[in-house]
Amino acid sequence: MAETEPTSRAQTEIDAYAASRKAEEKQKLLESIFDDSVAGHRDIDEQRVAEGTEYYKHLENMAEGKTKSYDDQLLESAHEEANKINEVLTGADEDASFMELAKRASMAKQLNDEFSVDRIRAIAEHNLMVEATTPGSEWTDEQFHEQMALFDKYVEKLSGGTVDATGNTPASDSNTESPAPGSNESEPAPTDDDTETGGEDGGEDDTETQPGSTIEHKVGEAVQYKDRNGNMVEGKISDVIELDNEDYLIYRVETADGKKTFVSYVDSVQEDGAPIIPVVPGAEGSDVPATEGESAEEYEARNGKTDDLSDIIPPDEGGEGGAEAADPTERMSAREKWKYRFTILLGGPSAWAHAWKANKAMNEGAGEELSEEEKEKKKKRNRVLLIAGGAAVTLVAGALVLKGYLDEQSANEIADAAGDAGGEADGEGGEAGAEVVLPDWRIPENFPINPGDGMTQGIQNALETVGHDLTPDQYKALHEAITNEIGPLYIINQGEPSNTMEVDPNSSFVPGVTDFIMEWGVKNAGWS
Amino acid sequence: MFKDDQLVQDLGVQDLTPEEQQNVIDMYRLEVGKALAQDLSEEQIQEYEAIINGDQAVIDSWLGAHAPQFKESEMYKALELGYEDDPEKVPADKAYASLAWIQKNNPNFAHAVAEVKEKIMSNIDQYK
Repeated sequence: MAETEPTSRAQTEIDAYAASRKAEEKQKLLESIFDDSVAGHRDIDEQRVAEGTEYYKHLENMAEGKTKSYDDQLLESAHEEANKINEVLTGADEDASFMELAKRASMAKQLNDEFSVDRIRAIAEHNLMVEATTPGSEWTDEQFHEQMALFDKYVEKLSGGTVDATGNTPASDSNTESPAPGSNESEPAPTDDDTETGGEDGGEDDTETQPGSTIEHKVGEAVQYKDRNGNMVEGKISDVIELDNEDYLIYRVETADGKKTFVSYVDSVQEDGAPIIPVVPGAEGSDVPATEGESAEEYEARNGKTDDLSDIIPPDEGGEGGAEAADPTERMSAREKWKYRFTILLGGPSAWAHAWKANKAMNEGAGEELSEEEKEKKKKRNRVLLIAGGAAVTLVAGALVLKGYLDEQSANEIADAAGDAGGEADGEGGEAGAEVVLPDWRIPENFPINPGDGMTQGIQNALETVGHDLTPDQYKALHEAITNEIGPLYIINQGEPSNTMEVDPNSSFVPGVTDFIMEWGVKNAGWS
Repeated sequence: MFKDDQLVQDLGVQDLTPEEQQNVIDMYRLEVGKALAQDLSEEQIQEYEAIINGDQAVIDSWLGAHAPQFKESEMYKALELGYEDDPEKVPADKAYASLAWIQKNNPNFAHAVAEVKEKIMSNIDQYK
């Protein structure tokens, strides 16, 4: 295999991914039609959707080269993106590409979901190993490790919303790193996030950060944005449009050829075309630096709210994850923040992840695009399933300690002593130590023994008279169980307990055998 | 004694963080619940929900119909013994009914648990 192939493959995926980022511009515009003003509100406000859609159509009709169906495309792409993000926490990663996995891992990382990060990374490693060991394309160990290092770097980069004291992201450092060993290509920049967080300089007056929102730019400012094809376009802002009840702005950018386009996200550029880094208030280079020892809260009190996530994570669902994500030292980039803000509005995986930390499995499905009523119903159903599953697990374990299985009110130990009555654990559910509820139907008192029938056939004859049957292996296991528990002479044949069967139309079981068979069937054959 | 920490051992997730362990255990329980639900009708699930919500009329009715002698069972006695130590005072009949209901309506529950456990454990191997 060519020495550079692994990196070339990654490059291809990165390019594809970069092209896919064009949808993000659309998504951000969509955000303006969702009502997120109420903490904990995750649903699309239908009225706002209608209003926002109409308003957006108006904007679209004003813009050149855009179709009337753009709204629909926006919705579709936004939902697709939400679904894609959802996969981060719900699995379905096995078939994802290297770059896609990196993206998903980065999402999980941003959600402080190390559990998913590790899981996704393991899948990436596995997939890479499969590819690396494919006959004809064996990689060296160095190449394999280079690729995994690249994966880690991409995850860090894609999740590179963390802004350090200098206003840079950790990921921005990677731009200057050497290409991966074995590659003759420079490391690609997989996302356009670089343009908003990378670089060294900051502190331009026109990059001030708005409280609780994104960067504000001014009319006449030189900016760049990414068009639908993923190309960076430069121009100057000719209009700044403020949406109703939103701190989110739409910019009309006029390019050198006179074309005007409405966009929701732009990056400032200097005269030489280099992007200007947004500066975090309080960070070095900020217009309003934080004083020594000043906390984020103190800074907010003095200068207005900082650009953390507390405005997008409902406090009632933030839980541990919310608190972590709101840590000002773990900032998302503006672009990523909007993405997650958006997914929260959709009840997306971000909300799901935080809900998981707060309420764990009971909230599974809350991230789906359901109505409030449907989500509540699903949560209730999940709670029932969680408890039922916990009950079954407890029963199988032969355990009677009910901690955590009943419901949130009864997440405690009912009794340590209870475990002593549990009996032996049995993976087959045999000696669960709990009373077995027998089915309503009963084994008949008498059954026939026909020519050539043995003991096992006798059991079968008895069961068949009431329409039940077992597999040959089950009959054998049942016969052995009865023999061990009650004894070998468990059928009364021709008036006497016997293990040598003679033709007898009215054979019967010795006392206790029918109950034993019923219990065995419940535990091992699913009788009900 | 069989507590969550023993479930941790049983699932082989000792190396995970406590939070991750709890997530896996919850996932385990939820998946078992889903597996059980496949064989249940909506009415049955609603009945179970009523039981775990402490609907005394449903609990009494169900126990009367399916386990009239439940107070004689070892399981009930054990649950009753633990009542005083239970800060939430979960009634023993509710706890008993919620367990017995599973046995009655999902007699194949042990197989479901085994299958889910295997599935969970095989997935755990990926991120251990």
